[in-house]
Amino acid sequence: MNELTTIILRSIAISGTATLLASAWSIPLAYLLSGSYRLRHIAYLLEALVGIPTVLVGLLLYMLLSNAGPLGFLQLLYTPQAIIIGEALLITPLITAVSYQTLKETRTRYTELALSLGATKQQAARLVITQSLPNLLAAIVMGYSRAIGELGVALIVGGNIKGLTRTITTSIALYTAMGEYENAIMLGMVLVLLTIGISLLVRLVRKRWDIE
Amino acid sequence: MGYRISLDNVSYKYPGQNRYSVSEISIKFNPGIVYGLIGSNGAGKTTLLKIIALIYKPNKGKLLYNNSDPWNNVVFYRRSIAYVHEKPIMIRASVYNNLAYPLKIRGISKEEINKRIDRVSRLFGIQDLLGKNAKTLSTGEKQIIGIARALIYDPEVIVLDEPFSNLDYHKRRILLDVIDSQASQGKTIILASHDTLMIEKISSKILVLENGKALCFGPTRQIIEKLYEYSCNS
Ligand SMILES: Nc1ncnc2c1ncn2[C@@H]1O[C@H](COP(=O)(O)OP(=O)(O)O)[C@@H](O)[C@H]1O
Ligand SMILES: [Mg+2]
Repeated sequence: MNELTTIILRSIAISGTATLLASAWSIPLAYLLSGSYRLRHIAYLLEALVGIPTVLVGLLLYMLLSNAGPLGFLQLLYTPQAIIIGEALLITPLITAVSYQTLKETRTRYTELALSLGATKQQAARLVITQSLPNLLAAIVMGYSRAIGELGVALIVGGNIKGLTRTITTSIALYTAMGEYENAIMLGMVLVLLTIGISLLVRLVRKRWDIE
Repeated sequence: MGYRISLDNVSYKYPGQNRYSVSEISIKFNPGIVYGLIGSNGAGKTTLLKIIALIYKPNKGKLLYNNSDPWNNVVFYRRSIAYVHEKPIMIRASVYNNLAYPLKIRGISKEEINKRIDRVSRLFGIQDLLGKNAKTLSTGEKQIIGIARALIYDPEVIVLDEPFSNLDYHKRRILLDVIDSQASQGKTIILASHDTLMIEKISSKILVLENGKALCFGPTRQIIEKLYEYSCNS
């Protein structure tokens, strides 16, 4: 396989894993927050962190993972795993905040509906989740788009190592610095296609969903 | 047979509010009678209905279903209550699946589900809608689907919030007939509406709410007269 293809596939894998990881904790967290009047401040805090700069997350994670840092013994710095963790942290506020908004809207309505029709608590929770799924999916896609398009984390904790941690965005930065604009532009277009493609796909899924 | 539902000094306050939305209501609802709940916007009709339908638990006072506390076995009691929201809530699915939902969660068989959907859609004249996406219906259609979905499990208590507001003349007629026939089967029926005319037509007893308090309660004719004379007092 040529190098560019490997880089593209690696980027998809890293950002995809980061998105799955972040969703695995963000959506349950959002569900928890949406049901509690007292915990709403946590949701506001996460909302405020949605636009947190990627270099800042990269820097903080670098300090944790570097040899002198508290998690240095894990030897994760400059590995794909480090990028995955960093991107997962980066998009956690985004996925949580967007999921929180949609769950807060649907939760009261659909919980009431389910209970009024005789559902148990578990059945009501299931209805809330299935009714929110299309919007939760949109939240997940937003997270994925942000993860695959970010540079700060990948560069700082990934290190742009050829054959190991080089991603689309770090390659674009490198090619541009080296004056190899053709490759940079090509990868840039792939990046745009990847983000547009996934959101079109989700749109399609959502449409199918509504008809059922 | 419907339940005898009694409220004794029942009050309810929404979380984070300092004012009671329903305040010290005492009343008894008997089976086989249609009760009308009237009052202006914000009077507390919806809140009171949700207390009766076991969606909100009273902060103060006692609510009894045939002398027992329904909150001790709340899923059981809810399964015998039809409660329909004033703004109809549709599940993202076909009308058929909306009607099937309450039966599915009760573990009822597919054949029985089809049989009941057939019966209820004939009753309300909604056969043509079964295959449609429920989210795309008109408000009136949603309203009637909401009512059909709540009557499909043959509840003992029927609590409808503003059931007539979005219905056309024809559907109103159908609903009035359905309510009449449910009452004669001994169901406990409570309807809320700001449309005094419809309530006057269908109910035999009326409760007037104002600012969360019971303003007056009694036989329809008597209450309507009092309302005209501005002499309502409990
Ligand atoms: N979810 C809510 N949170 C806080 N206050 C509410 C909520 N729903 C209703 N209220 C308040 O409770 C009072 C009664 O409302 P409601 O029962 O909806 O009246 P009605 O159905 O007669 O129009 C109103 O003052 C309303 O503002
Ligand atoms: Mg109301």
